Amino acid sequence: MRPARWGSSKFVGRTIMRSPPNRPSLPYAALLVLVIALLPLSTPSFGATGYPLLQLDQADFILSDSPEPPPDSAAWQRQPLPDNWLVSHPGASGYSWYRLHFVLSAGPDELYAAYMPLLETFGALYVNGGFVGQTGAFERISGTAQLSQPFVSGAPPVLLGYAPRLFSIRHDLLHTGTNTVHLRLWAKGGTRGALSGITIGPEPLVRAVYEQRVLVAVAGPRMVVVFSVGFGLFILLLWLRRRHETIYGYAGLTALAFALFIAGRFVIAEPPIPMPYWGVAVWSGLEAYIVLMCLFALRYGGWYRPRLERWLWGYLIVSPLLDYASFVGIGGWVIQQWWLMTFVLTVVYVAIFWTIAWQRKTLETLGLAVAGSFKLVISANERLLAYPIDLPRYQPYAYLPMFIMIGWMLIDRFVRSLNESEKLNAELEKRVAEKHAELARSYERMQTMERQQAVVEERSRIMRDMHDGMGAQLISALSLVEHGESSATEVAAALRECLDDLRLTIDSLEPTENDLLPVMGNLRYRLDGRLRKQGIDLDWRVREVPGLSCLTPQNVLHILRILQEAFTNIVKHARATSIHVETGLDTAGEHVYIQVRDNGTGFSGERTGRGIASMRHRAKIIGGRLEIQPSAAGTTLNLLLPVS
Amino acid sequence: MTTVMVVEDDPAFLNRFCKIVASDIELELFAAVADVASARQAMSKAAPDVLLTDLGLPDGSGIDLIQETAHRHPDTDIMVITVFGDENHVIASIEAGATGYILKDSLPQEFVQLIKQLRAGGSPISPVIARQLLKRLKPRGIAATVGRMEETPLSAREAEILAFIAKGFSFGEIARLLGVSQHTVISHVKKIYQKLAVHSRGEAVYEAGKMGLI
Repeated sequence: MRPARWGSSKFVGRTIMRSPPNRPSLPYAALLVLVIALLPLSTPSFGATGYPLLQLDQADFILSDSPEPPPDSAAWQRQPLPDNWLVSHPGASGYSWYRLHFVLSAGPDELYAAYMPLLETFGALYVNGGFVGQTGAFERISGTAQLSQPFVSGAPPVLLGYAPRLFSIRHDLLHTGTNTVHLRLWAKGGTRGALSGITIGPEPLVRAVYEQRVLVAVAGPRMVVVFSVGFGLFILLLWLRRRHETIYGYAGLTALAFALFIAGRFVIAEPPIPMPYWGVAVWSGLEAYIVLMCLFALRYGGWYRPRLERWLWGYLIVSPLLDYASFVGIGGWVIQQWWLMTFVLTVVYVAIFWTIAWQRKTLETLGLAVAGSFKLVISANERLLAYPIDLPRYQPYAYLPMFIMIGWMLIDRFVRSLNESEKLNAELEKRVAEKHAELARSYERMQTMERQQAVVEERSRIMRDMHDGMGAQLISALSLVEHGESSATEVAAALRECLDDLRLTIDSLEPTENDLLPVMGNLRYRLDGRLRKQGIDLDWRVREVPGLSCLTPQNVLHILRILQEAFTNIVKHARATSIHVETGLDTAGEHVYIQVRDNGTGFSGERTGRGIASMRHRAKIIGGRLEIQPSAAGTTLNLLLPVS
Repeated sequence: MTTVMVVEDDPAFLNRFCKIVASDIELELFAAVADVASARQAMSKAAPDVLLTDLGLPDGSGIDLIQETAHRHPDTDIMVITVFGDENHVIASIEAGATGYILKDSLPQEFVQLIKQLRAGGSPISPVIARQLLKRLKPRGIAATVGRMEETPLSAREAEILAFIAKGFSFGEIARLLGVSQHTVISHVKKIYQKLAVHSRGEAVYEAGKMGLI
C-alpha cells in the first residue's frame, strides 16, 4: 500500500482544504461552553506555583537532512505553530528542522520539560545544542555516519487520534537569557506531518498539563469504548428477552457501532485487518451508528416511515462500497465527499428528536433532543468547521449524553413498570376478592333456591305417598268398618297394615348417606315381629356393599315397598318356614343385589301378579331390575340396584 | 314385684296400659296420671321401679319429667311411649335419662316383655337409633376431649354392637357373631344409653360454660 494513497484519504483531505486558525472560532467557543463542565482540560494553564509556562508558537523551519541542528546561517524560514505539513509544505517528505527561542530571566535549578500536544510523525528534541530525547526510531540519530531512512513499522496511523509528547530537560542545559530549541521532524510525504506549539516550564507543571491531555485524548476514548461495548451488550441482552421492543435492539447496536468507530479512530494503533479494509470497517461503524440512531429515533417517536427506513438501510449497504472507493482513491467529488452524508443523517435524527420533544414536552424527550444535538455540535465543529489540529478531539464523548439518557430511560421504564405491576396486582387481588364474595353470594342464593326446591319436591312426594299409600288403605279399612261385614280382627289387620305403611314412609325419610344396610336393618326391625309370629325363621346375611348414590328418600321407599311386598307374599301365600336375606355385589361389580329366598311353595294368582308387576315397575324407576326365580324348593327374588 | 307408673294423657291408652299392667302378676300399678303435675305429686314421696311416660303432655313436656325423675330417682327405669319409635323422640328421651322406649301400638305380651327386659338390664333399640347413637358418641379428636371428664365415648365393643344393630342383626345373632352371651349384648345397650345421657349432660355443661352461664 502506497502512502501516497493515504494522502487522499478523507481525514487528511479535509484538513487540506482549510488553513488552521490560531483563534477559536465562534462555534468552537460554543462547544467549549458545552463541554467545559465535563472536561475542563483543553488548554494549557499556569501552574499553581505561579511560574508562567512558556508557550512557544513562533518557529523557524528548514527542510534538511542534517543530523545536527543546522547553523543559524542556514535558510531558515518563519513558520508559526501549529504547523500542518499538508497545508504548509504539501508534498514535502523526509527530515526537517524547527528552531525556537525562549528567554529565561534566571537559570533554573530544577528539572524542566517540553510538551507538545501534537508531533507527527517522529521527532528529536535538542536544547541549546544538547540532545534531549526523541520519539520513534531514527536510525543512528547523532554521530557522523550517513543518515538513512527512518524505521517505520506498519502503515501510518492514519485513523489514530494523536498522542501528546513530553520531553524532560536537564536544568544544566538551560541558562539565563535566550535559549534555543531545535526539533528534528520526520514525516512522509502526503501523511500528516505536523507540529503543535511547544510548552516549556518546570517539569511537574508541564507534566500536569500533559497528563490532562493524555486523559482526554488517550485514556478517555479507551474508557468510552469499554463503556459503550458493555452498555451495548447489556441493552442487546434486554432486547433478546423482549424482541418486540426493537427500540432496544437499535439502541444496543448503536452503542456497539459507536464503540467500533471510536476504537478504530482513537484507540487501536495497529489495524487488526489490513488497510483499507480496516478503514472501511471503522468508517462503516460511523455510518451504522448514525443510521441506527435514526431508526431508534423513529421507533422512539412511534413514527412509521417505511420509505425513509428503506433509504436508511440502502445508505448503510451502499456506503461501505463508496468508502472503499474513497480509500483507494477511485471516483470523483461525490465519492470523496460521501462522508458528508453522515451529517445529513445526524441532522435528520436530531430533527426527529426535537420534533418529538416539541410534541410531547416531557423531560425525557427534551433530554434525548439535547443529547442528540450535543453530538451534532461536536461533529460539526470538529469536521465541518476549521478546527485547530493541536486541540483534542471530543468526538469520542459525543454519544455519552445519549447513552446516559437511554440508560435513564430504561431505569425509568423499569421502575414504572414495576410500580404498575404492583398496583395491578393489588387491584387484581381486590377484584378477585370482590368476585369471590359475589360468587359466595350467588352460591348461597342458589343453595337457598335448591333447598326450597327440595322442600317443595319432598312435600309433594310425601303428599303423593300419603294419598296413594295410607290414604287408600284407610279408605279400604273405613269401608270394612262401614259395611259391618268384617270382624274386628280383619279391621285391626287392615289398620295395622296402614300403620306399617306409615312407618315405612317415615323410615324412608331417614338419611341413608348412600348406605344400604341401615335401610335393610330398619326393614328387618319392622318385619321381625310379624315373621316371628308366623313362625318363620329369618336368616339375616346382609354384608357391607359399596355406597349407592340412588338411595334418595323416594328410591328408599320404592326399595322398602318392593321388599315389603315380597315378604307379604311369602307370609300370605308361600307357606314358607324360613327366609334367607342376603346383600352383596354381583360378579360384574355393576349391581348391588338384595336377595330374598324362601323355602315355600311359591305364589301365584291375579293379585300377586299385579303386585309383582308393580314391584318390577318400582325397580325400573330406581334404575335397577327385579329377578324372580320360582323353583320347587322355594322362590328366589333378586333386586339389583345400580352401583353408580 | 315391679311397680309401674304410667303418664299418658289419652284416657283410652292410659286405660289400656293400666289393664296390661294389672293383668300380669309380676307387675303392680304404682300410679296412672295424665299430666306432669300429677306425676310429680305421685313421685314426691316414693318412686316406681318403672316409669312409662308420653312426651306430649297437657301441662308440659315428658322430657322434663324424665330428666327430673332420672335425677331424683336414679333407680327408676324410664321408658318413653312413642307412636313410631322415630329417632327425634327416642334420642331426646334417652338424652334426658330414659333407657328404653315402647311403641304405642305394641301388643300386650310385647309390652310386658319389654318392661321385664328393661328391669333385667336390657334396653330395646332399633337400627335407626343405633345409627344415631354411633354418630353422636363417635370419639372425637383428642383436643376436644382434653379437660372434659364427662366425655365418655363408646368403647370399641360398644361401637361394634351398635354397628351390627344398625344393619338389622338381632341381639342373638350379634351374640353369636361376637362369641358372647345375648345378655351381655343387651346390657351393653343400656350402658350406651346411659353414656348418651351423661354425654349430653356434659355437652350441656360444656355449652353453658362456653356461653358464660356457669
